[in-house]
Amino acid sequence: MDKSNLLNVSNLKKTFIKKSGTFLKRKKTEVYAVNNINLEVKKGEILGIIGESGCGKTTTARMIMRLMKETEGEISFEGVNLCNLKDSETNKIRKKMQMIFQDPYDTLNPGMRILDILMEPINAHEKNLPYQAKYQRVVEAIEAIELRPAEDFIHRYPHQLSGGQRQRIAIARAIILKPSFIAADEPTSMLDVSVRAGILNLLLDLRKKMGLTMMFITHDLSTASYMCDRIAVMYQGKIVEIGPTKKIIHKPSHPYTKALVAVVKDLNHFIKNREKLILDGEVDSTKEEKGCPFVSRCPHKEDICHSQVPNLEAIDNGHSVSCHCHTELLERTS
Amino acid sequence: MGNQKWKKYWQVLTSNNIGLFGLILLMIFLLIAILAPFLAPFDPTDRVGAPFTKPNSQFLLGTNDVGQDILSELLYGTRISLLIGVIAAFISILLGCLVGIVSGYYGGKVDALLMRLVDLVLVIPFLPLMILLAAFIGPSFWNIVLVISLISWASPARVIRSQVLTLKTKGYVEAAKSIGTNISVVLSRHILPGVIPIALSQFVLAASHSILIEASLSFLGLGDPFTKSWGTILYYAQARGAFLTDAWIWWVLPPGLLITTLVIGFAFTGYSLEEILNPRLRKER
Repeated sequence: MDKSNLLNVSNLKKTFIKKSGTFLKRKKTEVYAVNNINLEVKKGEILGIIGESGCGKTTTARMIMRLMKETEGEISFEGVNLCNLKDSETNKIRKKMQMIFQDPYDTLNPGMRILDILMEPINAHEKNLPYQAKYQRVVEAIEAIELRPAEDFIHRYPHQLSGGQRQRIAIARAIILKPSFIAADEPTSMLDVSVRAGILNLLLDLRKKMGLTMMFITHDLSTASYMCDRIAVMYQGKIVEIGPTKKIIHKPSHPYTKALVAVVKDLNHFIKNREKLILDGEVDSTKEEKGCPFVSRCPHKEDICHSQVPNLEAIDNGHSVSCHCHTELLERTS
Repeated sequence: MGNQKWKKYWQVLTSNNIGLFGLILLMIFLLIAILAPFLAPFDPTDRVGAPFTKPNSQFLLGTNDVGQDILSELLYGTRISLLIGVIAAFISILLGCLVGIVSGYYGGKVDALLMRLVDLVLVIPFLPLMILLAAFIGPSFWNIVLVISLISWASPARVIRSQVLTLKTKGYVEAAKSIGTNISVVLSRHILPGVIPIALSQFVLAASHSILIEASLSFLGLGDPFTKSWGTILYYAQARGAFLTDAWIWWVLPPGLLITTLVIGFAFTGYSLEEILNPRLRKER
């Protein structure tokens, strides 16, 4: 294991059990939300995870944040395996890893003042601090997220703030304990386009100031390319391609990534050439593992894609893809 | 938002005729209960007149079989009925909150077990059970309270559980968990404030049930014979044959009316409280 990795995820799996059938003929089928994920986050980097809804991005983050138990696999954070910790030990680790949630309208308790909301993490981990010191920390956190003057905001209730301001408060709550790792679960997707850039820049700024390591979850490739050092593309619970942002954007190897990139680069081109890039298809995660998960929507499929699961293979320095045909694809496009 | 919220609730409650009516009724009964010693012309335990006196200027509602003033009995009876109703409702809501929150928040096997227990309590025919319980543990004020709370905690528990289930999925509860907040803090700061308004309306409805149950138990002779509640008055009226003579007009009717009015007062208040909590029930105004 590399020492410079803050977070290591290996063979992470999460299955949900779907019950069907009547009383006597009850069937239990396993649905994979996350299927055998391996990834590492280096100290100080921002790793983006992108993929369509339901592909397991959020489930992965929730497992890393210990809001959900994994079915199989290992998550180690700063060398500590999180999977076998007791609840009290998990709570201690949480001081160092925080999460920013998607919906700022939902994650701030409407009945609490901003002061109380931001006090909560301090009370959970540093209860013995004198009140004045706690208050000072709250003021600092509010100033760090560029809501000035802090005194104006500290006694307000969430409904007196705009969506962008709420998300800033949610960010303040995440950074107030000075964590080393933050998982941001689509922090801008519920916001107005006009305030998105502000939030993204704030996150980049905080990362520079506090040396944050981040996992940035999004479904928007352009946001990811703006924010991230590396990007992992997920499809149906699997990482289909992972690599440095530049490589993913300029030399996408997996057909799914190619389709995503094509949408962002030139929408008109994408709409005209849709059939060549991606096929319409039902996403069915209950299917047994036989062949590539992308096979039903892949425009370049071969026989082998139906019978054999592709592995994530390195094709370049730090750039891996899981596709049987990537070499041929590369040739075809060049 | 705290104060504003309650202010708004108060507005909805009072802008609604039914709610206002219920609230006024409750206030009147509360005043009667508090001021009973000043309002009542006699001590209800004193033999002040001849037995079975018809209503006259001295005894407005006549006297009972041992010569006690019925009007005074009724006024003092307000205290007992109100007290039993409120205490029993309070205990059953407390129990209901506990069961509902634990069951809703922890889920899984605990939830399944508690909810089956609730089902059991809900489907037991309550009158025979109450008679049995009351007969078994003997009649006294606190036993009556106990019996009533034992059978009426189940439906509030259900309602509160469902509220906890929706609160549990709120983002701020999840956020608090991911911050590392203790479960006890999550429950008291995030879950409980959402449960209290519902518990309040359930409390008011439970109080009206408790009063009815107390009256029926006492009427059946299973109440405390030494406390004078409206039910006990009815019991004695029935035992002394008031139902068969003219006496029912002044001996049976008044306590019956009082019970009905008080229950209506509680029920109206409760329904309009429910309307506050469920904005979809709110009429366009």
